[in-house]
Amino acid sequence: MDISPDSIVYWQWGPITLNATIVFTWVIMLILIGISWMVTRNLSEDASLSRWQNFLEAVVSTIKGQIKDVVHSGAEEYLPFIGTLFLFISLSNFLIFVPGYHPPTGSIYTAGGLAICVFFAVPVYGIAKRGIWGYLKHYISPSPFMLPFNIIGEFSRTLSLAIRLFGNIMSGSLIVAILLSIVPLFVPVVMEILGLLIGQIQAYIFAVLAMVYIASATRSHEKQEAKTNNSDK
Amino acid sequence: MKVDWFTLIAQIINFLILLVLLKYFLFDRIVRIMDRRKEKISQKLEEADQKKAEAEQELQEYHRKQQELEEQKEEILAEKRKEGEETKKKLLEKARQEAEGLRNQWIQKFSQEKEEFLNDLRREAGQQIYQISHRVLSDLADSDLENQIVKTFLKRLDNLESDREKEIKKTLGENKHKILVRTSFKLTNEVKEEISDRIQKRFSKTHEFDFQQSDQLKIGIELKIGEHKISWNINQYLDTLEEKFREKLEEQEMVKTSESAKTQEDDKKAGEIHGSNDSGREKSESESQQKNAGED
Repeated sequence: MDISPDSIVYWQWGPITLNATIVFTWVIMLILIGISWMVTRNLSEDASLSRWQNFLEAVVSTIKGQIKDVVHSGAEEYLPFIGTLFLFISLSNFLIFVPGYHPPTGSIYTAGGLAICVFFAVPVYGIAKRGIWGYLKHYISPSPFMLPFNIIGEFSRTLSLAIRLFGNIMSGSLIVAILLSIVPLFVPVVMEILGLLIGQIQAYIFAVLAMVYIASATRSHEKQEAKTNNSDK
Repeated sequence: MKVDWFTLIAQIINFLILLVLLKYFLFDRIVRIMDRRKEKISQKLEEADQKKAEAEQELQEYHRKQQELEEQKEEILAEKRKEGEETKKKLLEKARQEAEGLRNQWIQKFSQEKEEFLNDLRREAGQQIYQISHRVLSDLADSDLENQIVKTFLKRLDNLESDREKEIKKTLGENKHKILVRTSFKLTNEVKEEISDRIQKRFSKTHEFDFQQSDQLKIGIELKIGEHKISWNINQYLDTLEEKFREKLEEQEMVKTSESAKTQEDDKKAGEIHGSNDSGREKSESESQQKNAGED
């Protein structure tokens, strides 16, 4: 029984292994980029849109709306990163009903990779917004005693982000696999449906948490700015 | 558990590639197109607002122009009405003046004709009266009438005012004037003597007398001393008669003019009055002629 798609290796050459995780990641990438490229080749500015354009616009504006709920302003800066996270996880979790498909998000490396990306994105956005000292100051707030906890929190939340996604998706696949051997009819379908739901929820949670982490690194700066603006006035 | 670093890094790289490509192919483009559409829509709305404002402005302009036109119309109408009234007034005035002119002309003509008529009448009446009187007097005893005339004359001589008497005396004293006595009839010697006696008595001087008979006097007697004149003449009565006639005619004229003043309305009527008057006058003239002929 395969717990992880990493163990399904299609081709190996020394350290380079082409396992199911990478292959299906590429598949998802191809689908996403293909659709985007096809649809955005000829976009319409007018009121009459193609169905696909309308769909993509709806998706993008929904994601933007969600980001706006968290950061209130400057949603467009975070849109590509958060949007890509969500679309990738969402599609990868969505395709589990396809026979022979192994969701790459069910691999700890994929979830870990994404979490590492978030881990690095937080200081990148924070420094871009607040400057290096402003960003670093947020580790000693509200007091310098909090510095070790802040650092631990930084790592632990990245870990929890990775494990949450991986655990949920992996467990979903695992449950279906186990159930298939015990009750091969009907019950796995229900679990599959549940898995679809959980997959979408996880995609949403992952994206929103990433946004919250980034926002926490940039928002204190905004708060300070607002304070100085108010005192100036 | 061995960590598969390759897969981890590969997944990170995959994600970064996907991030870049999706940013380029999806998010940027979609966001750009949505922004552009938003801009376009807001632009169109703005244009629509502008056009609406323009339309409202134009509507106001139109309303204003309409109002102006209405006012102009009212003004022109008022002006025309005023002009019309003025023209009417002028025409009425003109008509009134013409009527007045015609009336004056008619009055003038009428008075002229009246004058002529009076002259005619006086002449006619004088002649008639003279003829009648003459006929009557001649029918009556000649001597009696003549004696009566002489008597009346002598009475007048007696009643002469003292101022005049003095003047006559003065004239007689200055020059030796002939005392001229003209009569319309033949005087007998007795009468002549009586007259001369009376005059001499009156002015207490002897004078030469010259007795003449003249038709100019019609019926009467006249004493002429230098420039002084004492006479009794039927002409005096004729003059009085003429005066009476004139008064009567003037009264009638007054009545007529007041009537015509009441009914003076337009030239037509004035013309009618004129015409009817003319015919009336002609009628009365012909009637008087007929009367005269009848009496003749």
